[in-house]
Amino acid sequence: MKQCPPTLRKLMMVVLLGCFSLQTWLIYSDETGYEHPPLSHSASRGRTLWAKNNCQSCHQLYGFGGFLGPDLTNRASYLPQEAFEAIVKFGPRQMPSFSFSQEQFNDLYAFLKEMDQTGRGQPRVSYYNPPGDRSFRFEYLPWFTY
Amino acid sequence: MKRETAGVGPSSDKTLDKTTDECKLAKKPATMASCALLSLVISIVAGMLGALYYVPSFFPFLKERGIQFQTLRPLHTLFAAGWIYVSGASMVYFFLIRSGRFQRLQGNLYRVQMVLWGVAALGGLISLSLGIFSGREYLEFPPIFSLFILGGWFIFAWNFFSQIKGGFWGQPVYIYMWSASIIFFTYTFFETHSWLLPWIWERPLVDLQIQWKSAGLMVGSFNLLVYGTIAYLGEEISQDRKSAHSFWVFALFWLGLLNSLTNYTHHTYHIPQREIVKWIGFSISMTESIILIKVISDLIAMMRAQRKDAGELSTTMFLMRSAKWWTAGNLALAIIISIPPINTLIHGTHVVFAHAMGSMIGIDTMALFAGLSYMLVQWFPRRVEKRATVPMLWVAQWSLVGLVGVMTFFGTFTGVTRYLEQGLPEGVSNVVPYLFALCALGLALSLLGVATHWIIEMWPIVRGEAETQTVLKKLPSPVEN
Repeated sequence: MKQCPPTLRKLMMVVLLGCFSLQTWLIYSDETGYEHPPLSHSASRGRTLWAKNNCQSCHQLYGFGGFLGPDLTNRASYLPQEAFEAIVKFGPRQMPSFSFSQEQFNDLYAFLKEMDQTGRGQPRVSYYNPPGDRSFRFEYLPWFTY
Repeated sequence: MKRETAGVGPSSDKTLDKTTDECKLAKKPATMASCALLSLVISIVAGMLGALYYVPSFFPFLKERGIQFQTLRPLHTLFAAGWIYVSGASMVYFFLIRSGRFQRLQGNLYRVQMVLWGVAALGGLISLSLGIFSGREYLEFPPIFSLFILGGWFIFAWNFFSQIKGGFWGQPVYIYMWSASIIFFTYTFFETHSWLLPWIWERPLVDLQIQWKSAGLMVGSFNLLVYGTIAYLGEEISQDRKSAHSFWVFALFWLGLLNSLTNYTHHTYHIPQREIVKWIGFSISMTESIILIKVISDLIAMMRAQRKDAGELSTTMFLMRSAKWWTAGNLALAIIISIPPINTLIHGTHVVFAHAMGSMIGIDTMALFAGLSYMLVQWFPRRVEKRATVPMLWVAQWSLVGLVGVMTFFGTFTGVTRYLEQGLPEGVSNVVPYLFALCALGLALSLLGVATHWIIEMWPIVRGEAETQTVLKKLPSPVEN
């Protein structure tokens, strides 16, 4: 059995560290995340509320989180605040009910609204197919960002 | 070439010759392994209750009693990760003791490590059960407990690295794997807490990028702990000290680590970020095909070889073989879901869940079970009862096959209908939760059976009532000359 000499082992580790450093630099120097303004004070408080109640255990943002509830990245686009409040207050199906103050509801909704502005959380046929064509075509699927 | 001395070797004679010393030392990894198994039990119970939340006729029962899914999921994931890290660490201590490099100082530090991790586990259990969350996926406990985890990890790192005598570059591959695991976990554990910085918190896209970079590396770090265990067991069982130094083993380690460092981006294709990061992730994910070809060729060789009765090691060998099958299956699934248009469809569906279950249970848990059974066989052969364990493991295997199959089908179906902006057909949404719950129940009960059986077997060892039955074998140095 051919053995791996120490020189080659050292070379392997140097290459790995190089790749890791490059990857880290690419992530930390990426300006894309800074193209959107930072969260407003209200949305930031809303995000804290989202975290303290562990909403991500059931709901997703950009597909990250639990699968029990729907992805909420773009939910604010078509769910009015009154309907959103009703859902959170009464907790349909598996969802628990939450008793938030009106200010807290405003903050949470502000967070979802600002998340909605950052991009698309899920792919949709209507984004990619020609108008009127709703068939499933593999070649229309996006490669990366939706 | 400079002759490098062994991390394993004749120095063991002084510390391990006396049976009483062996018994005392053997107690340490056995205690740690028992804690890991207890962590697995907690994770399974929380996961089993969480699975019932998917079944329409069961969830009202849980909801009415205040047992919420947002409590069950973090308990399940935290203690599943705890099981893998702590049992992996117990295998490292097993190695250190077997190689005769475990000294009094390491023993004292080991106790401090156990206390720190115990406080973190108890703190996590209590705070999550009371609904006190940080809201960070997989690290939902309050960040104060991270300090205890990190403190224990530093001690573990010290205990490991201080015993790697005689130069690093001549060590066997599992030392490289465990070293990489320890170093990268330390780095990524800091990185994963970057959300505590206000300027990261206020920019969710930046936060997501960093979060998934660190989560990917964290998964890589515990996988390396497991792969190190597999490589170490392979060397121990075959008694071939050169196998862990071969060119192929190092090449696969290198490729695996390269994947761990960079291919996490197949989970973040859709996040607005630099395209080059995604292309790197995609290209490197495709190199997993090389590992897959190697694993398949090993499986073919394994099937062709005439199987001998492994005697006391039959449970260990069964688990090693099953981990290999799961590695092939999971690699194939990982390669498929890394292809961007397919990833578009299945991201955020149960296919990802199926992949995670296949990796964490099929590969990691089976490999760590193999390690624990080997530990029992080597030190306490009278406490191994394969007749009870292997049938339960067969139930676990087939339940997991069912679970991964159902979730892959359901996730793909969900992904396509979601893309087409259609609802799920009623038949699918009515049947799948029951199939899911059935497989999850079979898996949970069989794993619970194995875990509790081994906890009971290890209890006399933990209490110091059981004596080691075998004198440790003195093996030649694994370090090449």
